[in-house]
Amino acid sequence: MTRVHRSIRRGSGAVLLTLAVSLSLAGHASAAVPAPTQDDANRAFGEGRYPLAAQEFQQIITQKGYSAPLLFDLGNAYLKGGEPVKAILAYERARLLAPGDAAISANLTTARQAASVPDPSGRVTQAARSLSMNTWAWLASGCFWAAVLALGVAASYKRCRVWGIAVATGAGLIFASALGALCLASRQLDSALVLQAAPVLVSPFDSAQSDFALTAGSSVKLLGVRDHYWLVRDAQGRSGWVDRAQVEPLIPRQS
Amino acid sequence: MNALQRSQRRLTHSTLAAFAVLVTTLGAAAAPALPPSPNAPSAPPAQSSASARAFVRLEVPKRTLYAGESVPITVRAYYRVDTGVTVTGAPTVTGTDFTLRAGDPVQGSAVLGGVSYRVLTWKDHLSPVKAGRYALTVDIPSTLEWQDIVQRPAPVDAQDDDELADPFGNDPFFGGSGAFQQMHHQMQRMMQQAFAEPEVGAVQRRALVLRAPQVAVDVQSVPLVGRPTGFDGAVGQFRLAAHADTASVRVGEPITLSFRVTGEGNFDRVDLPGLPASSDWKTYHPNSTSGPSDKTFHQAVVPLRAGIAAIPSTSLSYFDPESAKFVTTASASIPVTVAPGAGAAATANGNVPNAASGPVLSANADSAGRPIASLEPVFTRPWFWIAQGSGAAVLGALALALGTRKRLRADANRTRRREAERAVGSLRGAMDRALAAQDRAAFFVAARSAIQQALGARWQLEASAISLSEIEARLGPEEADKLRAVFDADAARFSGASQRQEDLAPWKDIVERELEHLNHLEAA
Repeated sequence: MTRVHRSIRRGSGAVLLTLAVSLSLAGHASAAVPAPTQDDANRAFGEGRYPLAAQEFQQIITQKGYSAPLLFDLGNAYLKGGEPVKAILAYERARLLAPGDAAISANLTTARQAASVPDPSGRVTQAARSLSMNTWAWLASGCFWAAVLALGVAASYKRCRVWGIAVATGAGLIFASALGALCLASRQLDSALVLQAAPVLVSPFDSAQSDFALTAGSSVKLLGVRDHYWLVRDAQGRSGWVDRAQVEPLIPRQS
Repeated sequence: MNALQRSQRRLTHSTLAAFAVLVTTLGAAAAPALPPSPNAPSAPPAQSSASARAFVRLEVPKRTLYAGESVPITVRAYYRVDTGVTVTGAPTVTGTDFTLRAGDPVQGSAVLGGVSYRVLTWKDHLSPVKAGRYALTVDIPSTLEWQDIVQRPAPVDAQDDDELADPFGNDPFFGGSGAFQQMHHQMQRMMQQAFAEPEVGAVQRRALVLRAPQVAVDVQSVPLVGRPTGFDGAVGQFRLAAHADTASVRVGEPITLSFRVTGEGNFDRVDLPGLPASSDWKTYHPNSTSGPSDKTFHQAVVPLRAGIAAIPSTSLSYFDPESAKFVTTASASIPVTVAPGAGAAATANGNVPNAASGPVLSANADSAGRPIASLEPVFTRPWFWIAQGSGAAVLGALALALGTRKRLRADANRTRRREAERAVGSLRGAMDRALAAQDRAAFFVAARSAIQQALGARWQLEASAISLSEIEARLGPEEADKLRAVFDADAARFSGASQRQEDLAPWKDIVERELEHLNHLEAA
């Protein structure tokens, strides 16, 4: 959890302000039922009441937003509570925010073993996920502008021509690498996890015929949506419609 | 070789399309007399007419049917061997009260009444749609092609004929028209037949629909009384077998069941609801695949609790037209082992309840960290691209401003240089005039001014500010020494120093060379 803690320390000021505003708004909005705090959730977790702890962590996330520590704790609660598939989802989301965190990776591996689900990503994809998508995006953006500026300087000032071209070349190479990694990592945008073993229907209707079945914990790619059905494609390339309640996107869509 | 003979050399037939069969003939040119066919009109057709060359027969094994029943029928089309035939469509049942599943025909041959026929046989299944009395018949669209042939006796000259008829008629030795004459006439007829030449007519080609003679059938409805609950219109004799793709699953894991229906009957009407949903099983609507003599239903089912020992049997109800009774057949139950989900004891949704001794995990985080509203990466947000676009706009504007400034500066320099060149030109004129007038003072003033103008434009300085020291600083002492005489001569004019009267023409050359040299220096 070292990186998680480091990131917490870095943004402590902004976090405190955000928390204060969020807590005051949340307290004002739901004065009748006090919102659970992280201490409450951790207490329930410590007492072995994992479903309650998971529920409270989920409530905190709903109210305050996503963070790597909260998602990590949520995953722990699910995994301890015997819901490894939901734990996988929580850990995967935590890893989006803190990709290099060793604790998250370790618990994710444990959850996968508990659910008998292999890691679907290969080595290249894992390398691309060593940084978060935001980091790759900012790196690519910064290198792009650095290359453009260096080229501009090289074109404007003859004395700086060699230096400018060298900087532009280096920045351009990093930009290309970052862009490639971002393309690989961005596959997670359409990725989803099958929460329950689910039959895949040939059309998005309740009376439709089933084509094949998805196992719980497996990853699918979301291709589209119609009513309460997702159009998905599994690792074998088969596609069909699945009830939205049985599949959860890795990155929740903001309507 | 006439057209018919050429066509007779073509080989038998080839299938042009799924239902179009081309039949050509290999038979003899002259066909024997056609026997009366079942679908022939009351008056026998002429030998050359199209309908006399082909006919159709329909064989229905039973005359009392049930709606929805599938009955095998046989359709046979007979074509005389000396007739080219193109079957342009599959057999069709007249009317809309029957459905016919037509396959590909089988070709054979038959001899009826001494006439050789090529026979196309379709073995199909007929299914009546609704009850009633029907006159069933079948149509086969065909195109026939033949050539009429007439036997004409060989021409015999009348006189020769008379001689041949009775060459010894007047000879009493042969006894007039006795036994020999009779034998002679027989030989004459044989000779005429042997040397007769066939006369062929034009090739006849005609498209027609061959229709089988009507067969009266009585179609009855499936009885309303005694229908079982699951009866869905299947008529025939069927068997049902069930199979599961796995025998051991966990709670929540799907099982694919396969129900195979085999037997005799109309499979289009066979439908199977599959395993019904219950507290033990979550089920989905089955899909089906049909073969020529079977139909298989696939259904996904999910066990909802651990400990289920078997998948219940499924039944199929149908009406047996042979025994005229409803029959319900059931598949055998399938043994299965349903283990709890991933954990100790499974719940209905496939998750396990709280386990006191769970996996060993890294400890929870103490702080909530820095929550963010969304997990969507920055490049999916509009503001990210607005920021990138703003940066591009700023950079573009900067480049545009720099370029404009550079261009304007270049324009100012060019203007100044052009003005200086113009001034140098006028000063050259002044030097020429001073040279002509031998006005030494005016000559050196013009010479010095021309050099100042030329250098001032290049160095972007005021012409009056160009001095010998400036020239020495910029071009070096060597160049300054060359121009020193010009500047000194002009200075002497103001200093009152004695001015020798000397020829100015060499000075003109010196000044011109220096101006040219300065131009070259600038270019270098």
